[in-house]
Amino acid sequence: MLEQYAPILMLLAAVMGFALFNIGLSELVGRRRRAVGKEAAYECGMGSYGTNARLRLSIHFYLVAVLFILFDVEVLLLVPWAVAAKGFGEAGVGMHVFGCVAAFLIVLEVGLAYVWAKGGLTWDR
Amino acid sequence: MTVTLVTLLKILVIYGGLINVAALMTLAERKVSAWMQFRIGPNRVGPWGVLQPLADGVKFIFKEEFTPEGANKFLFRIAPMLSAVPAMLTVAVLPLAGDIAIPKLGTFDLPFFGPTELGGITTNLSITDLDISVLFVLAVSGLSIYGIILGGWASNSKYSLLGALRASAQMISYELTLMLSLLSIVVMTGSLDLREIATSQATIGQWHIWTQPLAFILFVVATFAETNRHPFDFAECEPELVGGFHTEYSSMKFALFFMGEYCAMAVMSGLTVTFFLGGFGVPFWPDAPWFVELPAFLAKTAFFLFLFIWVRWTLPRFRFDQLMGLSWKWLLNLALFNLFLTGLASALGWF
Amino acid sequence: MAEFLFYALSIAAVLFGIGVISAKQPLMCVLSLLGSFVCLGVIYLLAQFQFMAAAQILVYAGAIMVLFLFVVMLLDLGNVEELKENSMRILGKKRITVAVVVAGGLALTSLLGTRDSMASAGPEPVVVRPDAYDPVAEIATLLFTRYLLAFEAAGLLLVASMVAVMVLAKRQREPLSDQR
Repeated sequence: MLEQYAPILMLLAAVMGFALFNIGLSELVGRRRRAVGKEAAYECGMGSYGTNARLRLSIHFYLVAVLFILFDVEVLLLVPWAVAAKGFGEAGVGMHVFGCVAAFLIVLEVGLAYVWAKGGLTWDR
Repeated sequence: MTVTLVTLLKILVIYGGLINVAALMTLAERKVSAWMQFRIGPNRVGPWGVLQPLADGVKFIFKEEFTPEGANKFLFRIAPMLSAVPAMLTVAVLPLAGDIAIPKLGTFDLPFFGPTELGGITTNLSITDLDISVLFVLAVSGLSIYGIILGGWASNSKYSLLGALRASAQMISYELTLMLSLLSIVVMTGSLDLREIATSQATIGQWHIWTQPLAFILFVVATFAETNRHPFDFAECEPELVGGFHTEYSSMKFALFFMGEYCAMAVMSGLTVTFFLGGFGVPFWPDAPWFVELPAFLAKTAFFLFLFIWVRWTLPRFRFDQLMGLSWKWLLNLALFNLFLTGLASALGWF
Repeated sequence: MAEFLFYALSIAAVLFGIGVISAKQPLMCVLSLLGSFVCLGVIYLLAQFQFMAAAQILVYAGAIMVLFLFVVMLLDLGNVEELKENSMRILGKKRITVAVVVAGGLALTSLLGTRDSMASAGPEPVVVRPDAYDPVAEIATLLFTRYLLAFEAAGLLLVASMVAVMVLAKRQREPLSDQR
């Protein structure tokens, strides 16, 4: 099984080599001239406002990230079922297993509906 | 020995091909957009401007490179790599054609290895075949988000940071739709192996675009969002965010972000073909040899690559709240519903 | 080769772990943790747990670390103590107690469901795909027979987390509304 992954390791080496070579080459041969204000962060021609661009931002990004984790876990828990669904059908327990999965899906759908109803999916700010 | 050499050759051909497709896509983008707007497009470098990407590459190398004030130098350097590497790595599991029989080539006296017998094996035209290649693609392509988020943060520019945050929020939202629409295909085929999924659609009637039309639409929409393409290109929407997360990038670092994006587009198009259009299968010719299957696969993929450009120059851009609403309120629910129906049909033994 | 990789990755994972607690910038802590998770994923692969490796990368490296990055980038991490007091005051003791009891109960059910004494109460596992051994299908048969209770409890736990995050996010947004 591990030998299936050896080509990926080789490809990784090739890809990293390509990326490093390109970045290195352009850093070596690219010309450099320093000038006043050249290295300031771009801000539509004005001087940069404040010294730091690391702002505090909308809580909504946090909400999206947490919801993503929850649904990611959900998808991952469903993957084994998706692979074995045919086999379950052939073994004669398809409906029983699907009932369990449907319960799982409906519970999550209720959760999503709750978040929706509470305005968690509306990007208002 | 033969296996290793064949693998190296396949990496050279497939990865080299991917890079070339990405380079040609930059040309195609300009040409097609020019035609759509009654312009001519690049036509100076080589016939029809085909050498334009090469000229661009040389220019990128000689461009000045600078790091903005207050940037995190280390992260600023590695972010383009972090963005490009996962996108290029996913090509490893893409099945491009069926079996290739390599005849016995005889015994060769290789340096370091001594006399070695080469040839006499049968191989597939894909860099590797994993049992869980669907999960591999999802896991690895999910990592490309770090290049964008870190590139935007390390630049210490407000446009970059906002672009990066938007891009990452958008990518994670549409990744769910992507995964759920794929799950219904997995339910139908019972395998996580891309090659098995491709070969299970032997005839044109078995293509999953007919059996799973909703999943197909959801998947294509999600690929547009995953690759940050128009109409979902909030990572770099010019009127609002200048260049988005790569506002501060120049020279080859900037080029790597672009290579990554175009490679991701090429791989996503290939995946769409594999999942929904029978992969490398040739319509009405079930046992086609590999040198027919490969052009068939590339032709199908080319259509989706063209679709990316076509949509970009046709549709207006979304607004960010509409984009997030579309993903969470509609696409996610539709994908769950589709999975539910597919599971029910599977439990009833309809396929 | 596999053995060498195992040791190399283990050492790398530990070094990344040290990086998590010793890095000065919060962002570098997060990145070290990401490196550690990726190493761990490959170690799973070396142990032939393909599905676990994919899950590790997909959920930990792909989702949870994105959240951490967001949190580090979104928050001003200077005044953690004040933040704690604020959230205590806004949420109130009662709500927190209820949340802890519900989440703890569900987590406990999920955990107990994986214990053999509870688990064996379910129906016997069936063999799916007897022709070809498929580890992922094997996981599925166990998930829907022995560990069914844990599976469904996990679903409820996910919904409980959704409710919790809604409470947190919505509560915190109101005092911020007059800023911009």
